[in-house]
Amino acid sequence: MDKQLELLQGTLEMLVLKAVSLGPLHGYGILLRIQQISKDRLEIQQGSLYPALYRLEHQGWILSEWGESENNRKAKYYRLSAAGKKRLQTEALKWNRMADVIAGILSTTPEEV
Amino acid sequence: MSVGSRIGSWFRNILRRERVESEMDAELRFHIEQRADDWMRDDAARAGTMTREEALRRARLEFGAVDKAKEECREARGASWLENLAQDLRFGLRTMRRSPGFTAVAILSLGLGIGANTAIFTLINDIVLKSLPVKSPEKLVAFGKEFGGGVQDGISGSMDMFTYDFYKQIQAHHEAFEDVTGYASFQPNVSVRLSTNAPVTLAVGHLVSGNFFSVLGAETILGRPLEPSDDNGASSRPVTVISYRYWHEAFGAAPDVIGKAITVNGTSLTIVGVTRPKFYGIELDENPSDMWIPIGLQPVVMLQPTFVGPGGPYWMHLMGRSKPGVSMAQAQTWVSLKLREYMLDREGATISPERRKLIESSYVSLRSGASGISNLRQFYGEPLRILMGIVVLVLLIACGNLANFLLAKTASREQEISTRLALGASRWRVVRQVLTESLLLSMCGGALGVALAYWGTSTMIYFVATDVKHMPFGASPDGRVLAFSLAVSLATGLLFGIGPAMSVARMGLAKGMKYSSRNVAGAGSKFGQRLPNILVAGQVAMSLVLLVGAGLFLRTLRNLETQNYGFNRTNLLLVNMDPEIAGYKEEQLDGFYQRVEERIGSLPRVQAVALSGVPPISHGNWKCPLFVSGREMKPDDDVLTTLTAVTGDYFKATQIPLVSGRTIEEQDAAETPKVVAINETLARHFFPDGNAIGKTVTFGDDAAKGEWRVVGIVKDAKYSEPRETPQRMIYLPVLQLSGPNRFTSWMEVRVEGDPALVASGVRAALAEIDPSLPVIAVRTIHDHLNIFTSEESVVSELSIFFALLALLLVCIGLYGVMTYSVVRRTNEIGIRMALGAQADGVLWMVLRDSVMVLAIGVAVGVPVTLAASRLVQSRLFGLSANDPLTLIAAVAGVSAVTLVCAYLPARRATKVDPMVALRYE
Repeated sequence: MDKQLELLQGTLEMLVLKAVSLGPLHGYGILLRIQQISKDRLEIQQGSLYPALYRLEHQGWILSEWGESENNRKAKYYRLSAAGKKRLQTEALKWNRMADVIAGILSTTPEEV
Repeated sequence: MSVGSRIGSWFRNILRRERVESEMDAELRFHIEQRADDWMRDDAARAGTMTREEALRRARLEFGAVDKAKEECREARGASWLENLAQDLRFGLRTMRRSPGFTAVAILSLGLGIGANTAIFTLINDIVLKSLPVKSPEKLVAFGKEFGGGVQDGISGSMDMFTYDFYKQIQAHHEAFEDVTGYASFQPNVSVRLSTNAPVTLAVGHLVSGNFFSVLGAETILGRPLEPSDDNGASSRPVTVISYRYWHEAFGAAPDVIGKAITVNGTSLTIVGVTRPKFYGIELDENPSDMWIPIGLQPVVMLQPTFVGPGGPYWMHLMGRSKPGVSMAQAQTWVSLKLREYMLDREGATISPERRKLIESSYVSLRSGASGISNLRQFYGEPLRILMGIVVLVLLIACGNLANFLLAKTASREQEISTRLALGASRWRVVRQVLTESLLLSMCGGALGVALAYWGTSTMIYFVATDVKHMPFGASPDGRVLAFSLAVSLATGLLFGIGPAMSVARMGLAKGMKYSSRNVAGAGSKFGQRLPNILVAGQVAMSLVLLVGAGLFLRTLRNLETQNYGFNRTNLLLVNMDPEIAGYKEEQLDGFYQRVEERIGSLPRVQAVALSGVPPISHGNWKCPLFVSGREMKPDDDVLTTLTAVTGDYFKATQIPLVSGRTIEEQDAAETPKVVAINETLARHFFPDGNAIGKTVTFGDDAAKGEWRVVGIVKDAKYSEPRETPQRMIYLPVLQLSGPNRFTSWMEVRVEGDPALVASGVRAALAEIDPSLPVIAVRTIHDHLNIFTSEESVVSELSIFFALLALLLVCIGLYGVMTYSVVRRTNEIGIRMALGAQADGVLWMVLRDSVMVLAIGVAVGVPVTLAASRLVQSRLFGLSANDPLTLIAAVAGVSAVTLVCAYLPARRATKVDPMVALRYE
């Protein structure tokens, strides 16, 4: 397997929003889901996950409540708020646009300059 | 959207911090346990032998630093500054409690420094800054006068005293001012009987126009203020408004005082109002007004023929309320014009061209009346500013000590701080904690300071106002003073907190963790190491300034006190009494004076008794123009002279020496020819060729009518204040005068030995002669002279106190810095001694630092001192600001004291046992 890619600055929050948009999860679950949907190709620092979650909650894009996990342990579940949904859309749009521009630059051949 | 939830989570953070903490803890634990579960599951699938503990350990390792993550979560949540502040405060208090000695000294030094500043500021606020306690004081405009007293400056053109009919003219026209009020230029004592057959007491009365209260914007708490209808010239209503304080003192704050009739100087007046508590009238001075009386009643209050008719004297001051839309310049032009018109009109058709020229150059200078009029301001304004400078320096020195102490403490906490930083605390957080600790110290110091200031100000007022019955202000701080105190405390805390804060900000992580870093002599930056020495050098320089200042003021005071005043300044007793109020008529004065002089003269130890209009040295002197008979006087001539009315034995009592001719004697009474004695300065000015005796003079004052022959010349003396240059003085026999100037209110008694011993005997004798004679004061000439040097006394006493305090603080600081430096270098010293260094060598090595500090401090301090002294040159007497003797003494003093303080810790260094030192970590 190829070595995992390091996350670019600031993208963790976007990924968290996406993960949560697919359904409410606790912190550990979010970690697993991101790994799952990235097919394990991303390297995620566990220590930076929770600060990101608290930041997102402080800014109002995710909401939290305590519930019970699969194995009957108390866990804090996060879900996307309405504002968070909008935020995810805008961020995703920005990301795609940026990716387009960068890709275009990188694929420039000498003749096109 | 985010705002609402942001505020929500913010509140949650404040209110439920513990809960949130435990939640966060639970959440992270859950994460780790889940991970551990997964590890176990994977491991089981591979048929491994992992235990639960191993799985947990792996999970934790994988996660990373849990505390760091927690800290970041807390910050991400925007954990509030309020929580952090509370935490910092708790930590700061704990630290303070752990070193009680240091904390006590720190708070005490700060308390003294901040307290001194607050005390001086309270006085500055009361005397210089505060406005009159009336409505919109900024709209008040004083006509020419800012300071009290009634010296008419008739020559230089600026007028500040006016006549009653001029006032009436101005007041009728509302072009330039909304309204104008007039008031008497001095406030005499009046005799008051609170009811028939009650004893006579004295009160201070102020004659004011009917619109006085409305122009000032002052209200009453009982009854009504004076009204324009009360004031009707000769037929004014016999009413009065009393002050709040007088109401309490004389009437015990009885609510039925309105409508009561009291007898003032023999006339019945009805009380119609009581003023507000803070109101003291228009003049901020000792012994403020007790009652305000319509100006038309002037003959009653002053016991003189009326001033309020046409052609009356210039005796009133005016104060106006400015009119919106009229500028000061316009108003000034209008008033000056009106004044010139009035003066030309009044003096009739036959004015000499010179007089006309004088009138044309007269004007009225309008000044702000917002702070009222004040003699205190004039005399104490500058001394207070000097004192403010002094206490600021003292506070800076105290700050220097605190900065050094905190720097040392922070350096010794290097290990703890590095650990904190490594655990994830942000640097700003630690810096904030250090600053919180400094501010905590400075706020505690400030609180102590406010209490000390109250006590200090009360003491100062008490000592300055010895013969004064009441002061119109007290020591209680008002809003402005408290705000000042708070600001100074904050500024102080930040000032001495910067040093330690910066050293934390630059602290290295790894170096701090080494356990022996405390004793590595190279710990900290080069600048950081030098900083304590720089601070101490600065303190030395500042204390040098203070010491020299104190020395200069003290010597000035001594010079003033011991100089030759021209009259006896050790064996005189002065008595201030008032026969006019007691009801004596002019014709009775002859007999009264004789009785008094005989009776007092027969007391044991009394060698001479005399009476005079004013004491030998007095602020308020009679002046008028003098003309030599047979000589042409040109209008530009300087002909003013001071006059004093005395009885025959005056020169015997005061021991002013005779130069030629004879002095005034008993024989010079009402029937004999009018004679005068002059002083040398007057003789030189008016009779430069020397033949003064036998010449005749006349006066430009109706009170001294007729021709007077000069019979003698006496030596010069000081007449109005200790620093004056020789003034012209002429002595008149009091019984050859008529009118109000025939009354004397001062008695001089020459005594063998200490005059204080005769005081009670004199009082008793006067009471025997006439029990209703008010005796206002009995004091020795020494106490009397002290009044004239009271500002210098206050300044020199306080400056000595603060200079010594500053020196003490510097000693403490230097001792602390040196001790700390020795402790830090214990290792190094031990090595040196083990290698063979002698005790002397070690001593010198340690002392060298102190000597350097002292040398730099003095080198910087001397030029600063010279520059600063030049600022106070005008207050010095008998010595120059660069007086070398004072400077040398101060330098010697500072050096001696600091070297002693440095020697003690240095000696400790030599006692170091090399073996102990080498092992010491």
